[in-house]
Amino acid sequence: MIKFKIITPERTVFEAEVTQVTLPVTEGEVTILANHRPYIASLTPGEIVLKTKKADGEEEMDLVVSGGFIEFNENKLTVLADTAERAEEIDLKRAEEARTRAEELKKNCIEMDESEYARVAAAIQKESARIRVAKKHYTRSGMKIN
Amino acid sequence: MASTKDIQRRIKSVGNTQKITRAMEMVSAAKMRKAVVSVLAIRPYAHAAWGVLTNLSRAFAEYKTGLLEVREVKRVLAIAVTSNRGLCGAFNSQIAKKIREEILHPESLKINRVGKEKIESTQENVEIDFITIGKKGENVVRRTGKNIVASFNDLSYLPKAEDVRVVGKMVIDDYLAKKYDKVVIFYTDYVSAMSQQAKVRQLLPISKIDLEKQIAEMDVLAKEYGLKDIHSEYKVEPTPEIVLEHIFPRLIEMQIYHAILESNASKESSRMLAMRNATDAAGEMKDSLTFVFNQIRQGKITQEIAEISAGRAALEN
Repeated sequence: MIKFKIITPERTVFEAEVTQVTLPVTEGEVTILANHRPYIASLTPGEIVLKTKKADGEEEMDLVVSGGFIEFNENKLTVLADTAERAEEIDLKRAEEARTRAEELKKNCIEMDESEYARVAAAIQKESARIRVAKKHYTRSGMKIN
Repeated sequence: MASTKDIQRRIKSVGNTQKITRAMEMVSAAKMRKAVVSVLAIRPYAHAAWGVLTNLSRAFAEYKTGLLEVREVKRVLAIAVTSNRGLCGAFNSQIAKKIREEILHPESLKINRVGKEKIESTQENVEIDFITIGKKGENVVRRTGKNIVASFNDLSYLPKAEDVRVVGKMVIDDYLAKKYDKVVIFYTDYVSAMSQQAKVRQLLPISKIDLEKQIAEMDVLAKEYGLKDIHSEYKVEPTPEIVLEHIFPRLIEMQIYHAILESNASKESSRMLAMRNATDAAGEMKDSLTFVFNQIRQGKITQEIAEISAGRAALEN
C-alpha cells in the first residue's frame, strides 16, 4: 500500500491509502507501485489516476493537477501541486469554457513571446485534463453529459 | 445647557455607532479565525517542500546561479503588504513606520545576506522600488516619493495561492533580468491576537539558512529537520537542477502568500481590537450622556414642583 497525499499551499486536497498511482511527469507518464525506489520528479498539467483495492475489485479515482512536483519514499507519496482538484469538484461546463478561451487566446496572439505561449499552452493542457477527468467521472457515476 | 432633545439625539447617534462597531468587531473576529486557519493550512505544503529540498541538498549546495546568485545591492525591490481600508488600529501605521525607517536608514537593506555570509554594498545610496499590496501602503509609499512598479488592490481577505502567483512571477522575472539585486517583503507577523509585529524579510536572493529559518516558522515540525544528510538515494527526474528550478519559484510564491495571510490575520485581529475599544468607548459615552440627561430631567421636575408649591403657598396666604 502507498500512503498518498496531495497538497497545495491552500489545503490538503486528498489523502488515502492506494495500491497504484499514475502521474503526469515531465518525461511522460509514470506509474508507481508499492516499494518503488525513492523518487523525485516535476509534474506537468494532467491527470493523476489512483487505484485502490476494494473487496469487490478495484476502484479508480482521478485528480487533476496543474503542475508541481512529487516525492516518493518509504511508500509515502507526496504530491506538491500548484493547484489540484478532485474529479467531482470540477464544473465541466466551466472547464470547457476555459479551454475555449485559452485556445482563442492562442489563435489570436500570433506574436506572443515564448513564455507567454508556454503559459497559454499549459493552460490548454490543464483545462483539457480537467475536461477529460470530469467526463470520466460523470460517465462512471452514470450521469448524462450533454 | 443643552436641551434634553439634543442630548437624546446624541445618545441615539452614539448608540447607532456602537451597533456598527460591534458588528464590525464580530465580522473581524470571524474573518480572523478563517485567516488563522489558512495560515495553518500552508504548513503541510511548507513541510513537504522542505522535505523535497532536503533530498536535493547536494544539488542545492552547488547551485549558484539564477535566483541564488548574490550580487552587490544597487537596486532593491520591496513588496509592502497593507490593507485596503482603515479602521484597523495601528496595523497600517506600524508598517508605514517600518517602511519609512528602512527608507531613511537603508543600512540593512544594502547588505545582501546569504546565510552567515554578508555582501555589503559600496553604493552610497540604494534605489528602492515598491510593489504595494493594499491601498493604504500605496498611499504611504507615494508620500515618500518612491517609485511604485505595481499595485495590487483587489485581493480578497482570503486570497488564493493563484492570486499571488502574479506577484511572485514579477519578482522572479525582475530578479533574473538583473533589474534588482535584492527583493524584500514588508508584512505584519501575527504573533497572537493581542500582538502583531511589522517585519522585513529578504525574499531574493534565496539563502539556504534564511530559507530554513522561514520555513521553520511556517512549519513547526521543520525545526527538527534542517538540511540533514540524505539517507536514501533518490532518483530525480529530469535532473536535480531542473527540479530545483521548478521548486524555487514555488517557494518564493509560498513565502509571499504566507506573508499576505499573516498580514491578513494581523489586520483582522487589530481591527477587532480597535472595534472592541470603540464599542467600549461608545458605551461609556452613552452612560455619561444618559447621566447628564437624567440630571437635566430631574432638575426640570424639581423646578416644576417648586413652582407649583410656590404658587399654592401664594394662594393660601
